Amino acid sequence: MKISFPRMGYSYIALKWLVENMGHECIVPPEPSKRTLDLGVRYAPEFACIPFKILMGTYLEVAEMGAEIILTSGGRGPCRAGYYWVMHNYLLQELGKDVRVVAFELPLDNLKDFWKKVHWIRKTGGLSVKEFIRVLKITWEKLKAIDDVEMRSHEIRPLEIHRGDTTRTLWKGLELLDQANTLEEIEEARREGLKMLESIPRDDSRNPLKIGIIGEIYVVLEPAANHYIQIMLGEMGVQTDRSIYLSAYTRKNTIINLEGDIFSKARPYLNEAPIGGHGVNSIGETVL
Amino acid sequence: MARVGIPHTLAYFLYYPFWKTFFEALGHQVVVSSPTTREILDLGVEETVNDACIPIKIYHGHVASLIDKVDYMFCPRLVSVRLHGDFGSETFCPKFLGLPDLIRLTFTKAPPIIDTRIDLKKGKKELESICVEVGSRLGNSSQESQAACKKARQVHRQYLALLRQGTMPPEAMEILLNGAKPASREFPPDGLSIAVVGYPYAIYDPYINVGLLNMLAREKIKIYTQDMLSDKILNREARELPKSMFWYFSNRAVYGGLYYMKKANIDGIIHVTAFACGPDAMVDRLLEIEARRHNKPYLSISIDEHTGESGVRTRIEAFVDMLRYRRDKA
Repeated sequence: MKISFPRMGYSYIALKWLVENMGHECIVPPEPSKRTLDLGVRYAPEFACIPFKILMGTYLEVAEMGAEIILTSGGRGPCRAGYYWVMHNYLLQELGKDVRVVAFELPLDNLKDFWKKVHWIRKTGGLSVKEFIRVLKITWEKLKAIDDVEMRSHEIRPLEIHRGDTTRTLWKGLELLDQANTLEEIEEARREGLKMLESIPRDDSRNPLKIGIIGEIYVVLEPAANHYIQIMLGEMGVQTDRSIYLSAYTRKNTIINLEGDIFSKARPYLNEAPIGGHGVNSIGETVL
Repeated sequence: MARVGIPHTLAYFLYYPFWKTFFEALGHQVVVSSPTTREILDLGVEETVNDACIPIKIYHGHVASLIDKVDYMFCPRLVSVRLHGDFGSETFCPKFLGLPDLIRLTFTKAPPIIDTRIDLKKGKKELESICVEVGSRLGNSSQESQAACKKARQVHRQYLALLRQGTMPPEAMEILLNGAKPASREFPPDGLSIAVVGYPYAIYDPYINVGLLNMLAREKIKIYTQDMLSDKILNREARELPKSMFWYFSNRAVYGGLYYMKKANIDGIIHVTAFACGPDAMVDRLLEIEARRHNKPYLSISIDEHTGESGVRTRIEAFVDMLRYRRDKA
């Protein structure tokens, strides 16, 4: 099957690997562009939020590229994001597109549904259970490695002497990770990527401003949706840290909740959690 | 004895009889704000953060109009009103969840806010313990609160029964709380039937929807709303969807809409949506698509602070004409 997924930052590198190694063909979602947004705005409900519209545009673009299945995540609210896939399915059907959105809900909510979908995706790809688990594990490591390299790049960028060095090197590092196929290769690529970043000529005497970036998960994670704000700030000599990384989010939210502390920090300001769109996390991280 | 303020909007339309009975049984005085007016809306628009939806702005307006008249403001945090064991997992929209905080941070001069968390799915006895907590804030013992809760539940059941019979909330409240006689209405045998779905605070607030229901009533149209359906019927509709939404009032509107779409005696569906309502962006499109698939005429009316009566009237008249034409042709 030709499978695609929503694009969120650099995570597509790991997800592409996942889809290909599950025995499917991968349609890599293009970076959101003006056209993506235009398409999304045209077909999405007027008051839908910007992530919904960008995803709508992305889905239409991957449908043009031949995708048959779009894998995404579900959710249990109260944010609208958990209902995206249902609406996207409705809208794509109405437009007569031959593509289906399949969402993985939280395993804790509906174990049977989750299991059925996992099983289906594995079967259709023709993988054994053992291989499947191995592929998932590698993807996970890849995701973490990508976040590690990206995180470091935001620390180094404000110190770089030649503007743009860090971003170019980051891409080289990401390409290495793109090529890595085993746990050892990923580890090596990660180390190599970090080493390349370290060897960028830089001026350690600078004392960069430090700015924290908080906000709604999608626009924080997708550089094309936030005008490459971290790169922009970095090249202005600002060190940035953001509250959300995809690997960290999944690490925290899928199995057990490790975010109790953040919620308690936000309590004096917003006495209800969770409220959707990372609202509570945003308030909590601001305090911290 | 304390004066407890209840804003005349949002959950008022479904739960006012309950809380009025409860507070009065405890010996307190209930002060309800007047139905929405221009002044209340203006007050709300002034006080509220800029991009809040219109119902939240109106809520702020009602609170502002009550501030000097009450000792306590009743603004519970509605998390879930699904009964324990009902298997519904939905909550309210984020703005409801954060409403007590919004009110507290906006009105620094406000009287103490009773912001008890209402989450009925937690346990069977949850409603009683909520009532005891509310009572204790007002200095009532837990026995008193429990007795009052029992009485209030009874009234609430009667209220729901009246709604199921097709009575509109304002009229049902009059009958239940003031002993008014039910008005008898005659409908011509060949008259139209229209289902009006949407949030209670949008369809039953005649100011904000510029008298939509009255316009229909004057045309001798029989009106149905989702609040006339039992939970059982609504829950059955939930199974038709790939996945339910997360918001209680939205789900009621969607299920109600889906139910009426399949009824042959319903001529058309009107969805009343609030400007800048987050969940409604989904609800409205979903209903629109489903209505097309069910071949049922569908009209969406969006209301905001500038809604003019003539604009809505024109659209309603056109819709009704279209329905009549459609019926004559069939």
